[in-house]
Amino acid sequence: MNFQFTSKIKRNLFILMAVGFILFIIGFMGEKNHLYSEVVTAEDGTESILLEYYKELPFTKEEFISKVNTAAAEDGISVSFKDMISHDAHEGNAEEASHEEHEFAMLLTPHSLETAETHAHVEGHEHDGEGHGAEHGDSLDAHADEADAEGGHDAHAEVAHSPMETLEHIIHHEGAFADKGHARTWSNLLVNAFFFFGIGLGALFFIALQYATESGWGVVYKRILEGIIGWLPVGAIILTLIFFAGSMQWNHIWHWMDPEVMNPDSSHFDAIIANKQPFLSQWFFWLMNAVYFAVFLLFARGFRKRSLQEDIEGGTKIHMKNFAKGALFLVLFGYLSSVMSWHWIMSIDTHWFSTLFGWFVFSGIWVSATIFILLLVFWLKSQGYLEFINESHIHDMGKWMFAISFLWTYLFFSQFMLIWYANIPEEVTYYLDRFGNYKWILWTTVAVNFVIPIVLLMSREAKRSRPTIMIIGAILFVFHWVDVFIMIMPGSVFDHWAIGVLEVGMFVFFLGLFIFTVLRTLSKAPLLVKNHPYLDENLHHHT
Amino acid sequence: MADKIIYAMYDDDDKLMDGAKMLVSKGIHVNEVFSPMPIHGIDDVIGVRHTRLGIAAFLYGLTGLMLATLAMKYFMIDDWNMNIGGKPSFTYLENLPAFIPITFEFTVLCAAHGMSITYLLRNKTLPGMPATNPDPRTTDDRFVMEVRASENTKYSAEEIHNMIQSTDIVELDVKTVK
Repeated sequence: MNFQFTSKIKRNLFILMAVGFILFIIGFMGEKNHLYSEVVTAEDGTESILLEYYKELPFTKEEFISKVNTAAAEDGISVSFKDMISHDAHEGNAEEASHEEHEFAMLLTPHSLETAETHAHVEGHEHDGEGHGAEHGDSLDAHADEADAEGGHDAHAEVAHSPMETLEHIIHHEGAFADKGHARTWSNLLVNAFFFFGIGLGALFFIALQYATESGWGVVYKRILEGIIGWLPVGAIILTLIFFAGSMQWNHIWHWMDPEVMNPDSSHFDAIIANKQPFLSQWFFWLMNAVYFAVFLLFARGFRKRSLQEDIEGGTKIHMKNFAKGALFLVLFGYLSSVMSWHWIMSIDTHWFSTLFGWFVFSGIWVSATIFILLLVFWLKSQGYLEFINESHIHDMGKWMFAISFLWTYLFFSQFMLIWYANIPEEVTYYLDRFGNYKWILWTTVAVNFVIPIVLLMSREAKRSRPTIMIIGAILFVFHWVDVFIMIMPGSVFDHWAIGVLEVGMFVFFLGLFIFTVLRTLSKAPLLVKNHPYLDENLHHHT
Repeated sequence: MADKIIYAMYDDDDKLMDGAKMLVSKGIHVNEVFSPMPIHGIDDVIGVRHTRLGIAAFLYGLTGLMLATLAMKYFMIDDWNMNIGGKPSFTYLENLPAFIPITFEFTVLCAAHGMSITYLLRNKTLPGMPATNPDPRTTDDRFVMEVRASENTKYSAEEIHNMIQSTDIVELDVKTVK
């Protein structure tokens, strides 16, 4: 029996997409950019905020300083400014001097009015621009010290907010301006495009795994998987557009795509990135993109074609061909999924690298795909389809969801612990960025994605129960989306992340489009395969 | 108390399954099935209670987790704290990531060993223990179903005997215990 993609379902999905799109537009109109700020601690323990901005700003440095001073006076603190731009690099003509007014790099130190004298003026020019790198807390332990210092400060102050918190608040307000580059929109596009492409890819991997292992238990899921794989061409187009925009410098998600970074004569030259030039170069990026998409889409097309052919012809010839192609795909996927995650996601945090990252991304992909399969199956069953999928089939897929959740946690922790233990500056930056401004969201994600499955999905009955799987699946689905969010955002919008109408709207829109494509593919072939050698065994599946 | 135990032997697990289904549908209680490999679904048919080995495994795992935590807290923090790789070694929590692999391994070790030993003890199949299966061939390629007359008072031993004979058996053995 075919799935009937009725106009009522289509209408509901269009409504879902429209709601998402409207929410996104509302968020898009109000999208604000902020000055890049970072809390730095000097050797004597004083905390300051480092502000940096190198692109065109709607206000000059002097205007910004006077705005901050006014707001600071109202809130009862004073702020001292220290210029961090090396002026040797900018000697010369008037054009550069006017440009310089829009380039920020200064250190703001808050003082409470009761304890410190007021000195709100721009100080010293002797500070070297390169010097501030050493002042960042380069160790994970530094944050514990910072927290202690903050706690101690609070104990002395009578007011609820420390001067530091007040200053952060002022900067957040005064440093905000309409974002012409739309960093949040672009980054969110990538988050959603990758997350849903990942689900399609997870399904493709899963079907290849079942062919290569000649599994009998999952034959009833085959058409569901093929439906989900139907998203891959759409997802590939969206990803290609985002990558193209990155190459054209329309978005700045990938810092290394800026040609100035590789140019030794430029003031934006970055030796660490330049040393990775063979891998992080436009031609190699696009060559590999062609390889990724070609391999994924061609195998997806082949599996689908043979699956429909098997329905008509029968026999074991197609089965054996799928076996060989499945094994071949697994080998290719093993390499490509890792390199793909390095190119697409890991290179956003350009200085950082981790060999394990590809597997971590892959485990997230796989578990998201498993969860989506279960949610889709339960929905289809509630619509009166898939009567042949029994409790044992659900139980087996539930086991996968349970097990891969721990694969994900295991890989997250392996990556984290090795970096924590070695404490090498190149590596810890990744977690410093995430512990700084993403701390609660990061640990919530890890806790939810680990604790909920281990506690609630351990028993046999839970893996067979529709309400349990539906609720836990929905929670985990959202939090694996958040996991992708945390992979991408810290390197592209830094600390100015939010989950607001823009993010929710775009997620809802993508979800609608994704489900629409999946259901459309699903409606094109019968929900149960014919002539699969293990079909009869699978229909009597019992665990 | 005198009892009659009927052992019905099959040469295929599907035949045993069909036989068991037929007997159970007539209200006969099948006491036990001996098989060289797991027969999926037979426990539901003959009404074996669900195993509690999983609960035991969970408790063993919890024991391992607690033992590992207590031991490492004592070794590495209280008794002789060592500075490994420049990491703070004064509280357990600050050093937690370093302890997690050992906690995990010890949890698995305790759960796996505890579960295996419990299984062998509960089934009375520890190495060297006398075999409890009625026929050595059930460890090879035969499947045996055990029905006790004392548990099926609804029918006489003869009636049960006849009913079993009507299924697809290869051998039938009756043992009388005093």
